[in-house]
Amino acid sequence: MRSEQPPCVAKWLLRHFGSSPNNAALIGDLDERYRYSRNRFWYWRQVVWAIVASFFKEISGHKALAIRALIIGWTIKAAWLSAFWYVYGAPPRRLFTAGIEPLLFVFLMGIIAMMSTTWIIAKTHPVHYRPIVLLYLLLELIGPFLTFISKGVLGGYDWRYPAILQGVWPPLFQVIYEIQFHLGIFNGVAATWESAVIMVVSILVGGGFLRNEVDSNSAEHPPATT
Amino acid sequence: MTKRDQLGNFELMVMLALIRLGDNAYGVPISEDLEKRTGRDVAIGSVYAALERLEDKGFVASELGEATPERGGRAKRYFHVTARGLKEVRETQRALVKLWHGLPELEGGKA
Repeated sequence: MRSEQPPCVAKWLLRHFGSSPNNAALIGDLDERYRYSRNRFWYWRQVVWAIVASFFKEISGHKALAIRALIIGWTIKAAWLSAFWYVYGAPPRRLFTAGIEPLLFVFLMGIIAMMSTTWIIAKTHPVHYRPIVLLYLLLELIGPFLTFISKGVLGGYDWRYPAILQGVWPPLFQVIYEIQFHLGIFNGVAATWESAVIMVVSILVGGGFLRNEVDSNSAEHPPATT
Repeated sequence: MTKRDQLGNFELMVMLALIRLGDNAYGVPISEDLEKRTGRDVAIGSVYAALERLEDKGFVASELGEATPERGGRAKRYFHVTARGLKEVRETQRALVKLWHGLPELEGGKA
């Protein structure tokens, strides 16, 4: 038997990742149709499509803003990396012989750097922060992935330090790798995935994606109970 | 008229649904009307993307309506076609009718 409540994970995703200015009305429409005639698969498909459609619509409608946001983000990132390399040298290898504390410090700095970058992007683009931060996140993931592919194809790939995250925040992957090494775990693949997850979460938290927002046009009635 | 102001295929379908529905045009009836008449499943997200583009072009206006419990307390957003939008639909219709004429393949003749 079908539940009267729409899938809560799908709804959460749409609430936090939907870029439409009418996101609350859209969720209300989906809930209304779901209650009368639809199934969970239909709801999930609608949610995924709503997130994708609103993202592309907002980006294509505000190209200049998106480019400005990317320039701001990459400028801040470049400033962080320059400061890091200025203090510790590049690559920061000598840091990793001094125990776990400096590693954790650098790890924390990497997270703060990512969060602050997307926080500034979100603050400077308050109306369209969702699609713009998502675009920044996608490019930060795609860029290193292309580097990873090209290095794999062209040769010279260093398996000890996979390139997949070096292009994003070079210290982060290396720090996680060295922390694992320090703990007696030798697993570059795990470090790559951990770095990717930490990077994604940091960017989303910094960009304000995970905060609880009250819908602008809701709460006149409490949700229906079944 | 710039290319940006022209109606796309899906946008035209949405405009026709808005005209047909009159005062009751919000996401659910619009998508149901499109599904019923085209025989295809319609994503409500795509309908909203088209409506927002049309609103940017000045062809559609909207206002918030009532919230109901079955919508999780969320208000409906009602859309209606503006005078400019109606003029654009008429111009598109005229252009399409002109394009349609003289094509035997589309008038029941032999291909």
